Amino acid sequence: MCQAPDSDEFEAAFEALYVRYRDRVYSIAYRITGTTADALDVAQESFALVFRKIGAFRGESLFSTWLYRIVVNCAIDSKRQSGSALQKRTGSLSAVDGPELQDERENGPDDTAERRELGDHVHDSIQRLSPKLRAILVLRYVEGLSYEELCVALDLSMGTVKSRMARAHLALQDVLTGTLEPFGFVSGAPIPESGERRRKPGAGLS
Amino acid sequence: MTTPSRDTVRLHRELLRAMPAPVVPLDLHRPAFLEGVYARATDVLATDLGPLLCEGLPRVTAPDLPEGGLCIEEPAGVVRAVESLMPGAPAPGWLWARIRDDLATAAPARTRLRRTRAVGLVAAAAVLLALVGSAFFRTHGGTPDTSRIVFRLDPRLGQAGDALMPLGR
Repeated sequence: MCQAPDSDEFEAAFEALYVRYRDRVYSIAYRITGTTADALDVAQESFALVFRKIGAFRGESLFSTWLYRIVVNCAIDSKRQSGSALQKRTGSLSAVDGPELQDERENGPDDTAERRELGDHVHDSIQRLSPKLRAILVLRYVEGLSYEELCVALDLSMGTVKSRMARAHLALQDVLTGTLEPFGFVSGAPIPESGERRRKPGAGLS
Repeated sequence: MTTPSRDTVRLHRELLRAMPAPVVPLDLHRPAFLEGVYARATDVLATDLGPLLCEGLPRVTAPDLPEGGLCIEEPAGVVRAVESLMPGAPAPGWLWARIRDDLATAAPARTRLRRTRAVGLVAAAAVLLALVGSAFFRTHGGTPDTSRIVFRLDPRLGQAGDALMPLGR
C-alpha cells in the first residue's frame, strides 16, 4: 500500500491497517502510559503519524515493528508532557470507566479474579519504572519482539538493547521485591518454565 | 553493571506474559476516533500549508468551473504543496475532499455577496448616468426641474456600498 497508491486506495488501506492494529497499539500505549485516557491519546496520535509518514516506510522491517516505534515514541513523549497539549486536543476522549469499557478477552477458566489482581499488581509495578524501561519490557515480553526487532522498534544498537533490558529487569526486581508473596510466590524459589507458580505450603487451601 | 539472575528474568517474563490484555475502551472503536486521527493528521493545515492553500484557492474557485465554481479535481499546486510538507505521502484526496466540503459550505455565502456587489454596481452606474444626464440637460437647455432629481438610499443595497438610486424628479 505504500507505493504511491491512489487516494481512495490509500484511505481504504489505511483504514484496514487501523482496524487491524488499533487494539494492539492501544494495549502497548496503555502499558507504557498507564492510563486509559493517555493511551487513547497516544493511539490517536500514533495513527495520525502513521498516516503522515507512511510513505517513509520502506518495508525493510515488519510494518508492526515500524508501528511500534511510533507508538513507543509517542507514549514516551506523552509521559514527558505532563498536562500535555496532546491531552488538551482530545477533550472528547474521556477517561472511560465502568459501562464504557469493553472487555475483548474471552473469559476462560484462567481468567480468575486472582489472576486479574496479580496482573494489576504487575501493571502498577511497571508503571514505577521509567517509560523507556517500561517500553522495552512490554515489547519484549508482552508483544514478544525478538532482540533484533527491539533494535528496530527502539532504534537502538544490540548492545544498548541488552544493557537496557538488564537495567529494566533490575529495576523491576527492586519494585517487586517483597510484594509477590500475597500472590503465592515463594521468595527466592526458582520459577518453572510453564508459568505455574510455586505456591507456599498451604496456599490456596481452604 | 549487575546482571539479573536467570530466575529473575524468567519470573519477570512469566509475570508480564500473564498480564491480562487491557480492557479496550469503546471510544477506540467508534468512527469518531478515526475522524480524530484524520483531524490530527491534517493539523498541518494550521501550519505552512494554510497560506499555500489560500494562494491556490482563487484558481480553484474560478467562476467558469463546473459545480458552482468549485474545481472537482485536485489542483496540482496544492497537491505539490501537501506533498512537500508530507514527504512520501500519497496524493491527499482526503485533504482535498475536506477543502471541497469547506468551500461548498462557504459557496452560498459567496454567491450572496457576489449578487449584492452586482446590484451595487448597477445602482452606481445608474447614479452616474443620472448625474451625467443632469449635467447634459443643464448644459444643453433641459427643463429647470432636472436639477431637482431626488435620490433615496435603498436599504436593500446596504452591503453594496453607499449606492444611491434615482427615483425620478
